[in-house]
Amino acid sequence: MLKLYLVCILAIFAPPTFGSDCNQKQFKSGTVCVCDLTNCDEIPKIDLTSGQAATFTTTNAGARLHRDIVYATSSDPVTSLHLTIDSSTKYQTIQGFGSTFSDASGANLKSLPDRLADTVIQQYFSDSGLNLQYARVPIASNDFSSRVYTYNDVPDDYSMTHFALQREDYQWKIPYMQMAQKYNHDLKFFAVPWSAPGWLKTTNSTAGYGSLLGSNQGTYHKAYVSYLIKFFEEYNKQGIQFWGLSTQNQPTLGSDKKTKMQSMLFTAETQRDFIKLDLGPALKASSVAKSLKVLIMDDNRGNLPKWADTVLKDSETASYVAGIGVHSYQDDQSDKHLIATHENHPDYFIFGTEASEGYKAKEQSVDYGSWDRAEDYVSDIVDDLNNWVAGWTERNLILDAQGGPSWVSDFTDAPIIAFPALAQFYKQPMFYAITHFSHFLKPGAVRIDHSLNVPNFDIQKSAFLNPDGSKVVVLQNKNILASYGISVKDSQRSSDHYQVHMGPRSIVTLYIQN
Amino acid sequence: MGQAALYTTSNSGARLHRDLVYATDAEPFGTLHMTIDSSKKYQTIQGFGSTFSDASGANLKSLPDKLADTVIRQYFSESGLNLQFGRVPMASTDFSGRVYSYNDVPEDYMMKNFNLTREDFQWKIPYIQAAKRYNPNLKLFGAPWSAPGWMKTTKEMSGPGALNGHAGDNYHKAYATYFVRFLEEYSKSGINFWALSTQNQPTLGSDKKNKIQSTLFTAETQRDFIKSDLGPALKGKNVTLLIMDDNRGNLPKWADTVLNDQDAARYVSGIGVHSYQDSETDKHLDDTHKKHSNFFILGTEASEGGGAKEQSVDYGSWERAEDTVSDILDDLNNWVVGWTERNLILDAQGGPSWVSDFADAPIIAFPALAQFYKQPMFYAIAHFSHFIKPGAVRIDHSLNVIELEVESAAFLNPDGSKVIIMLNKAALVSTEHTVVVQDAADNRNHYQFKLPHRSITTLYIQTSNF
Repeated sequence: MLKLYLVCILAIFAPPTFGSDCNQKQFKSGTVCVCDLTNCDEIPKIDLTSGQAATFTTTNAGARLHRDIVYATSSDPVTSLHLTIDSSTKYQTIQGFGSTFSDASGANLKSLPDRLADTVIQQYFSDSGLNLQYARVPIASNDFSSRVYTYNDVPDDYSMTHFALQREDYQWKIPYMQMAQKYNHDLKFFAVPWSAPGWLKTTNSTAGYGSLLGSNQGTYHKAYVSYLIKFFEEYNKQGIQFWGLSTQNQPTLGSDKKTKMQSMLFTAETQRDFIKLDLGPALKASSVAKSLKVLIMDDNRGNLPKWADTVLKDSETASYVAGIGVHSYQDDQSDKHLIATHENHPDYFIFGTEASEGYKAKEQSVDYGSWDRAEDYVSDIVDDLNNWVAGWTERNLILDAQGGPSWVSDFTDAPIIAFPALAQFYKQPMFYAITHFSHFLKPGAVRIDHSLNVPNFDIQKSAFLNPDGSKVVVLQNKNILASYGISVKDSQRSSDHYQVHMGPRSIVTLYIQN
Repeated sequence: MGQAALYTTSNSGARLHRDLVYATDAEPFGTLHMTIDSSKKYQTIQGFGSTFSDASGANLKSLPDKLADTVIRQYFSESGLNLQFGRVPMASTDFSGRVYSYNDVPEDYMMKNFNLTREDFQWKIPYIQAAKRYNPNLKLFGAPWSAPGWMKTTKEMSGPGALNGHAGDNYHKAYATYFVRFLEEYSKSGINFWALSTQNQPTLGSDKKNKIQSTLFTAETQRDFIKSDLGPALKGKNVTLLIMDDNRGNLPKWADTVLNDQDAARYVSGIGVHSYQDSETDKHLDDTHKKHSNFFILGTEASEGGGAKEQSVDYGSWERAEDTVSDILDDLNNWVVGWTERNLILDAQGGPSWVSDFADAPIIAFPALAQFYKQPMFYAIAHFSHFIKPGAVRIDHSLNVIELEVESAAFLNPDGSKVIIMLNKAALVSTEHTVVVQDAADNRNHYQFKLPHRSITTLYIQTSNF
């Protein structure tokens, strides 16, 4: 009798054994999943009846969203870690996750056979895949372009008669944006400029630092605003409507004399004035652009709450603004930046607009199979979502083995890497890191309260309530050797709890069907 | 008086930068004096080559046709690298997208099911044909990485293992037939071979940890296979054999074992050598030449970036160009008649390679932007292959001082022009040399030029009068 009991306990805690969840290729840093014309791994269907739950597990050892049914049990939890979730306490709405239609991404998609490019788009935008709800669209060129260009490089053409979309838009962006819309009719595009045309800048150069010439309501500012509005008009002619506009990518970069990439300086003050006196009114007067949600900042969290305070303190400015864009590169800094921002401006959503790995000068741009980078992503996303952020956007859909193309060699990693020679692509562990959130959190989900009975620095966690009543708990175990058993209890239900096993270096999404 | 041109490639960015240099009889002043003596001739240089690997073909195919043609032209036209050799793998290697042979039907000794694969038709044949359009004299040599798995002791094409049985038996006869069928099938596409290498890196086949396609031969079993099976099978096919195709550490012993047996040696014309042990003593090559001077030693494989701990593709690596020049100089100065690169063109990962055996290459493909990069290594090869014409001979040369950071070689072309290649490995600007070149036959005139730090120079002397 005792033996049977022990066996039962072991069965609950025996780490699930995994067959191969995907077509794996092993590298020094870990494994990637290889996709080609005949085969690409899919996320196991949730497929749960009411009250049932399942864990989806991804591990450094090779599991990829491996699905196990988990039963609620009322017997004494044997684990030392207890996680309680409480859906009666709700925080912010999670608007969704996204990626970026960079020129580089489009060029890489174009280098693959059409069917394979379609597979990439499907993996990201269909609800059987990452179910991305947002897409960032650069306005003209950025570091992930093959050349420096804007939509009007004719100097002094203030009336923008020479404004024209470029071949990059027609070959590398629009076709894939339309492909994505087929998979998600509600896909929300938000546009963002890296720089105005050079002739509108103090430096007379699109690439590198500098700010807009002149002053608010003057010739240059007016011209720039009509440039921005023309972007939306031209895309509208292609049948593409936008949900939002971020005022400027990384506005603080524009003061860095050493930067080579396209940038334009705004301070919080000049951004405030630009929105109030130039951009805001013009948007409202434009039939195509009047409903656009305007995002401010689009820079790292260290600038908060000051940036938001400065811009939104002016109520006229604030009337044009919907949210605050934040990048993830200072996510190791205090959460107070985000918390204070939310407290000061609870009516404005904070939205993650850019995140990436592998961008530092001394590191490998593309690190095949890197678990570290997947771990960083989960860490950052959990940190953001636990501190009022409403969404998160990846920097590039797909890059090549060099981490580009990038005219300025600003190479970086991406969740998908293209290999045109063999008509293949790799799905990095990072891809699955995003999936653990984006596939399971439905649009309109809210973050709910959660608490762990004891502090544990290895475990990262967040919890959510979907509109249909299902609950999602996302967990990460960063320990490289130790496993953990966690009892997850829903305080809204009876004494039932779910036992979740977390092996070393693992990510688990617990999905509790309503 | 004579005219010469100096071509300089440097770490600081020069790429075969051309300067005219005039012969002068003024007082020579320089930090290095080189004397060349074309009355003392060594070996004939047959030429330089590269490999039509599956990976190279796949990368070429991923580029627009016009750009792929540019790559081929850069390598094979005489306005480019003027390559004279093409190594052609027989079935799959580490630089393939998958493991396959030309006949994976077990026990099919008659080779009834022998067939070329899609890789040959899409990734090899079209580009070999394109190369031949630029150089109709292109000499192709086939080389197997492994026999079909069913013929091996391990039953697996990838990884270690030798042929089953022994020379003369059904396995060995079947394998010899496999070689013949390879020649026949390629011939149907208008492609004929100058030679066959008996086995790529035959010593690899004993390494139990190795995952790549390989078949073990010892010098003895290679000798016997050639003597009993392969040699006779190739009778009348107008194709010669290369032995070894492995690193120089195996010499001269390997050559001794195979070539001292007349019945094997009669089918063989040359010894293939890889460059991965080029840091070992030159005696390996010298002794081989001394004992087997009727057989040429040909460099059949060389590459950079293949080490487990290093970056596979190192963009712009001057060091790798330097290593390449160093290796070629060392080989040519020690009786080797030519040198072959391991891949024409790889991708940014250093592949594709089914077994992740990534490496660097002189050309790297970037299909997304329809571009390719020419690495410094590409120019390293150009300094030799573009200027040393087929049929050139290595001639005597000597420096007045021993300069460890400077390496050099000299050649006489069939048309009487002379080629002198120099490498300066010194890193400081102050280590620039002024080189004075004199011909032993003419003690009045000389050429004088600058050899900057971290540079490669080729001095091309046009006239047969110095």
